Amino acid sequence: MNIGQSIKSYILSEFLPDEDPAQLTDSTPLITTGILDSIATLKLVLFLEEQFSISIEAYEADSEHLDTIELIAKLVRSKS
Amino acid sequence: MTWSSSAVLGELSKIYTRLTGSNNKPDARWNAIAEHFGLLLIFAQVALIALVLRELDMQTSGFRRVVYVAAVGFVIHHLLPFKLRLPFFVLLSVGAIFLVLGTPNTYHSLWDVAIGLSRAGAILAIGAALIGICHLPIGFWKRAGLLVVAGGMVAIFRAGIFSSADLAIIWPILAAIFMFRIIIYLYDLSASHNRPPVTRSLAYFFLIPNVCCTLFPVIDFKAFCRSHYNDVPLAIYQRGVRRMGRGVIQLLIYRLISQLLAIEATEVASGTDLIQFLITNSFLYLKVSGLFHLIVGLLLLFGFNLPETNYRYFLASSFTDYWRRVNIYWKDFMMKVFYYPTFFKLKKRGPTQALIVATLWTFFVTWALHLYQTWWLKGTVSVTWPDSLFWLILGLLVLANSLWEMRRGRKRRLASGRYDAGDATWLALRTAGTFACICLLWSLWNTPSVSLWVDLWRYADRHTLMWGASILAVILIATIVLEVLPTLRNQPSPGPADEWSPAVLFRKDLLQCSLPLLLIYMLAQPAVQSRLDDPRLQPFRDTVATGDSMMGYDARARGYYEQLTDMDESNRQLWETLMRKQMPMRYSGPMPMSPVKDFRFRELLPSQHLQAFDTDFQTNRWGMRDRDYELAKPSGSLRIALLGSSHVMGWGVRQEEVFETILEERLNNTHAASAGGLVNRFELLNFSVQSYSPLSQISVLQNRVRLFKPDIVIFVAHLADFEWAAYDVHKALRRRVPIPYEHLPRILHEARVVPRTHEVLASMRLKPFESELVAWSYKKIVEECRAMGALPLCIFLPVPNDLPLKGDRVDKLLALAAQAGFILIDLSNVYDHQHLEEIRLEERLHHINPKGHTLIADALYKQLMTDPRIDLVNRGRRVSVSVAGSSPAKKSLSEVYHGKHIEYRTVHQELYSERVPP
Repeated sequence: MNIGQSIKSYILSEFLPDEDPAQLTDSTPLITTGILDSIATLKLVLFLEEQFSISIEAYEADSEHLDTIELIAKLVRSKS
Repeated sequence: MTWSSSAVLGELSKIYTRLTGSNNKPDARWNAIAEHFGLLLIFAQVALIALVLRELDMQTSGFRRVVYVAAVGFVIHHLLPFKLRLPFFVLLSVGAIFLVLGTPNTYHSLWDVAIGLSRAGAILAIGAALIGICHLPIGFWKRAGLLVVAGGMVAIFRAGIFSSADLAIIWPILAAIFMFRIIIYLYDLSASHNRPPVTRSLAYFFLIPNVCCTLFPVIDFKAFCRSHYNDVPLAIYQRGVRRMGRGVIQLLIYRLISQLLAIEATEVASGTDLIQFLITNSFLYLKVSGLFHLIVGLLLLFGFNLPETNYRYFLASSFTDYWRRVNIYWKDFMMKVFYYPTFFKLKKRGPTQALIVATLWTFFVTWALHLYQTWWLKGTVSVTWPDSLFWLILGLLVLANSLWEMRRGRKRRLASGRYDAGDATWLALRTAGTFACICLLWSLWNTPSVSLWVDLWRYADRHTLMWGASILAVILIATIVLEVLPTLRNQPSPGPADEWSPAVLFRKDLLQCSLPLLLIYMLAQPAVQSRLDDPRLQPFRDTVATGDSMMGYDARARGYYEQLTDMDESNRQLWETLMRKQMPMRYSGPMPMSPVKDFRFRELLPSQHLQAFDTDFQTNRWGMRDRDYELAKPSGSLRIALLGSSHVMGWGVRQEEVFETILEERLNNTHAASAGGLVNRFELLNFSVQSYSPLSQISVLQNRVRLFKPDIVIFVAHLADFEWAAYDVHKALRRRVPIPYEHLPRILHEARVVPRTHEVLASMRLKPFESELVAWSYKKIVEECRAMGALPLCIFLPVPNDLPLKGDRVDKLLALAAQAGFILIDLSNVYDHQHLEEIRLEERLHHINPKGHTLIADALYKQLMTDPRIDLVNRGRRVSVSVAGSSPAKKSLSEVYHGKHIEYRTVHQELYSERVPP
């Protein structure tokens, strides 16, 4: 499973368990649509740090870095 | 593809085809025409908003001027090449500072170059210095430290030390620009390795509406940079128009609720009042949300595609949801600078502990920064229990919610997701529950004290429950209609409005904003208003007519945001500059008074000694600002009762300098001796109290003066009696003071004045009845005097505000006094040959100084001694003859009451009716 798929799988299982997986694309806005609120963002960050053994800074927990699966994957790749 | 291609271009294509008879697609020329047409449509909508703001007297005059400038400016801005737009925006914003702050205090000229340059120059210079500190090539904490030092220096000026009068108004504006955004700016600079362009930094701080809005959304710097023309321009402008329109509508709803429905905690007297207080206070936040929509909408016109400032906060389904919706910019600011850094620092200790500390820390900072904001904008701050408890309780509720969500999760939905019946019901119930809790919290925040809030609950009854349940039912229905129904109809949720296509945007905005605003504008026209002359519509017409320029006259105590933005002495100059009118003085010192339920409204407390009314202030045991007297008139004395307002009470002068004291002393030193030693004393009892009108004096006579059995009553009349009588009759109605006379309610009914009518409107409506009110009041005063056997005297005394005197008003007042039956003493010429500055306290205090009081005492003494109608000399002799004659010697107070075994306390109780004496 690549980074993007791993992230998508986590988001679906943790935050969107009853939703159609096909509706969640790599470019679906997550923060700006409210799917990732503050609690969800912290959970996601903890998951990413644990899953990919990276360290994310506080200023990276924003829409610039975490708004879409694509951006999240890019952040993880930049840290890996 | 431009905005035009989706809607307007489609139509133009059809026209083009018909005209040319060809199927060729329109060329670039048609695209340009369509784009300009779209720009014109947007300009028309902005112009409509500006018209509504002006017609309904919304916001300050300064803000409206900024809107006019922005309405034209954004068109020029759009037509400029892209790289020139940001510099143009900066120039326009700086120009707005010059324009708004260049208004001199004298208002005789539209603009003053010198004042504008000095004020704007100071703001720009200090602002540049603060921004420069953020860019210094030193560590983050060193830069933060330097900013704190610089802020401290500015704070010294804010506190009024080393500040010039002309520059005093820049401090709240400087604070509004920098107090929060400098924190975000420094944080983002330290996190990013890229230095932003100078114009972008200047544009971020010097935002065009900020010069006239001290309450301003905390715009994030990164969001500001990212949002600049990140979408089709005309789509961004149209969104801006929608936000502005929504802001105007919310501000109008706020005005309706504030004028018609919102009541203060002290006005709660029943179960229905209680629920009215609980519900309406939470809606007062519409003032903030409406203003923020207006401000951000204005910025969208210049291509800054900023997100919403709030979103349907009344339909929040949990406390965390409320926190996320009510002020999105503030939430993002807190998350970015305080919440996430704290959580990330502590996450190694476990997510739960990190969450608890981060959440509590965030709410502590929120509470502290609200105090910080208050200090900068008002110059003072006080920590109160209701404010502290509000943030503490909200913080704990959000924390509890967050811990729940952390452990159990929260159901989220994609834009195309749907609610099932169970979820919808649960959502509606949670929303209603959250709404109820938030209303309770807001009511606590808007109550002066916790004990008062707790005390309010004794009024709770079945009406409270009934009305409360009804309102919660409305919230339930609103949740179903607005949040759930769109999904249950198997239609995809429309998603955030920002994603709609421009054509959809324009059609929706036309229906939801522009048409309602056009309707409001039409309804506000005098020709239409005159056709809606139905008494049942009067409250709504009054609300529309109660403009924001009347805010300075609103003495009602309100919540945090009203107090932050309302006019008081700390921001008087700023208000007068923005409103372009002089605002009334309002005394804010100690008021040693207690409320009474008659036309006096308040009376002085007895036996007080303190600094009040700008002087060393003392009251005797009877609550008069005078030396002590016995209740029973001593034998051989002539007693004169003096009725007046603050001028006669001696505002701003020492007691021995008041004309009443001087006159009494002179009469006792000169006249008593000349009465053959038979009159051993003249007593002048000063019953004057600040803000007492002729109507108040009727109550003074009935409740106080009669007990002292004066021989003469001197009533001091001023030109302001016309306004004061009208003001007090409406005040009695507003404060539910019993009006025992038939005449007065009839006047109020004829003038269409009801309790909720704004003071300024009420005074306008009662103006035609002023003479009738004064005539009636004067007659009642004369009746009361004669009923107690006292000679009624009226002194017409001009006060500094009246000078120079207008002959017709003076003649009218004197005629009314004479018709009422007074013996009239006209002191119109008492200040002849004096300059105004020689008889008046300093300019801001419109009261008479010691020299003025001496002149009054001299003139009055002369009149009393020589006026044959008063015949003071022989009146004195008649009193002494009656004493020396067959009348029994009067007993002293202790003799009178000792024989009846009545204690001295009972005398006080008789005087003060239900009140327990001190």
